[in-house]
Amino acid sequence: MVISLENVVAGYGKTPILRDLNLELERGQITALLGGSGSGKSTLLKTMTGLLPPLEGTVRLLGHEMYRLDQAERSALLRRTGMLFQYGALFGSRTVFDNIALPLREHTALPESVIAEMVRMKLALVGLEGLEARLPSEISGGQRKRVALARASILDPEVIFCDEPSAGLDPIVAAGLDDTLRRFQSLFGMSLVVVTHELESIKFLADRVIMLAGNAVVAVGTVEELSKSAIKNVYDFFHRVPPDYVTAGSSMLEWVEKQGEPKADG
Amino acid sequence: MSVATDAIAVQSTQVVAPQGDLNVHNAAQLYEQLDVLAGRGDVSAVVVDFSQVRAMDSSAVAVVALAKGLFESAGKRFDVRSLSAEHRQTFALMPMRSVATGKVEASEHPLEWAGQQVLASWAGMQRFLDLLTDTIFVVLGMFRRRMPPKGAITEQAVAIGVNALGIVALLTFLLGLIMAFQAAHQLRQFGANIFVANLVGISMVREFGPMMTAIIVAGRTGSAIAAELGTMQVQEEIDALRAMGLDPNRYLLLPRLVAITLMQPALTLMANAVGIFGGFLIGTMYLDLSAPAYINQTIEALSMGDVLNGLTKSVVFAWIIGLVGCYCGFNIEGGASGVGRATTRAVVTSIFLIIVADSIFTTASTVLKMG
Repeated sequence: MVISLENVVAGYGKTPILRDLNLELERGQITALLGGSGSGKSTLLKTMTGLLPPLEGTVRLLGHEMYRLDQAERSALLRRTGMLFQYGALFGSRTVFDNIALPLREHTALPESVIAEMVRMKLALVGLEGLEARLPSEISGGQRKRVALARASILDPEVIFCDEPSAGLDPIVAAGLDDTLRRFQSLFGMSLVVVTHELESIKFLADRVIMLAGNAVVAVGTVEELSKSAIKNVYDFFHRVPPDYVTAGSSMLEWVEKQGEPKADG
Repeated sequence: MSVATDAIAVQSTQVVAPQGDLNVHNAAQLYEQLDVLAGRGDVSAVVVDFSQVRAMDSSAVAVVALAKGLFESAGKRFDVRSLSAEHRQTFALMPMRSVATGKVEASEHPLEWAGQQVLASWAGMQRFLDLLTDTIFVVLGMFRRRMPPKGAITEQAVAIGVNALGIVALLTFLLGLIMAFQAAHQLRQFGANIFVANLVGISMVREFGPMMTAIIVAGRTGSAIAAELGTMQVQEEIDALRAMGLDPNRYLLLPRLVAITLMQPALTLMANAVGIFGGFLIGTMYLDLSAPAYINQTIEALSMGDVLNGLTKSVVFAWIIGLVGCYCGFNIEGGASGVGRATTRAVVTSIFLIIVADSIFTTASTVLKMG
């Protein structure tokens, strides 16, 4: 088991966003976390990655109760994971090379020559060889995400968490990134947890899907299972059914329709 | 096209008939008119007649929705009539929910506001104490070889110290110059010109050197620390460090704190020397004092205690600037505007605390001397 959550309530401050989370994520699988905007996907991802302690319940990462570990132990555990942030979260004042090399320099005693070779290899794997000397501001959004993926994978982690990897990218770049994620999973046997909105990505990537709605997990299964779901939220998501924000009978027109010709007073 | 409205009195029912296009450019006129009618005691009902309205946008619907709330809360009747199919389509887009009361969220009670401010201050204090505790641990960690990243202290020392040399030197030179001028004017009347050296020397070394340097560094470095860390927070770079199993305090706070602790006393020493040099120029050129006499008088006036006093202060000021800058940067709220607020807060708080700390130092040292 890569991650398990038992009776977890996740949220910020004292405000719960997600309740009663009981999940188990298998090793070697790509798990997609789905849900509409504000459904708590990023909150759940932060809780899984050690960035947001749960308000209640137990989070086990790679067999360890993450939030019960002391700082050094948790730090050691997190080295076995990687995180790809939505906007890359590259260090703006460091070059692409330094960004990717950072985990190696901080967590290993490898000589600089080996680090340089590893960075070059990982950059080649994401199709960005030759960009080592560039600053993050000098490359495109899609390239930044791929650099961030190279950084997240530089220690060959057992699990990589991805927060909306293909959001805001053109279809070709998005497909390229999805393909790279799939290759990481198949080549290195990594587990991936991917938060995404993109249906195409989900269909291509996900071995298993967890759907969030209304502050809770509403469905778990394969893409095929969920696309046939009888649950409205799940069905609507997979079939792109637009929401009716102004529901029947609640619009201003409803009031207008009830108006008769006014009668003069007195 | 502007809205022409026509109010016809039918007993106590008023008919408002806008003409032409009703949109964001003129909806305010209709709202003002309806607002006035809602407040009039002699009006019990209002009808908005859309028969002469050509086209309308959502601002017109918003005005009608708000007016409906206004009239209902005043216990009056409010209706619309003669809507075309196009008008109805626009009305269909707007939800009823926001119409029910027509009121904006009630404003906060002053006591509630005050209570929230106290709670926020308390929470801020707790966060600052947390940061202070973490700082003590990362500093102690250096003795267990948990050093900041390679080259980070040098990089920060250059940014904080070397790059500030020019501005600190210029301003403290001018300060020494001004002090000597002001003192010369008074002391010359008593034939006590030579004491300009005492005044400038002691003032610079004990007070103005450390404080002026601290204020410049607070404005320059404190703001830069808050802005840099704040931006990193907004761009999730600090979360990225945590996710990599790295301690942001060791990675970001420690190099800045070590660098400012080393650079602040160095800058202060230089500021003292340059300020005294400013006074020396006035003493020798304006007061006709000889250079050896001025230098001897300055040396005699100053003691090692004065210098150490100033340097101790400078270290305390350095920690104030470093910690406040890091605190404001790490605890940013909001996006780009939050970075701006954090930067301002870092500078203002640092300067305030520097002056408070300086007054405590001065009072304590005076009391100790008297004792």
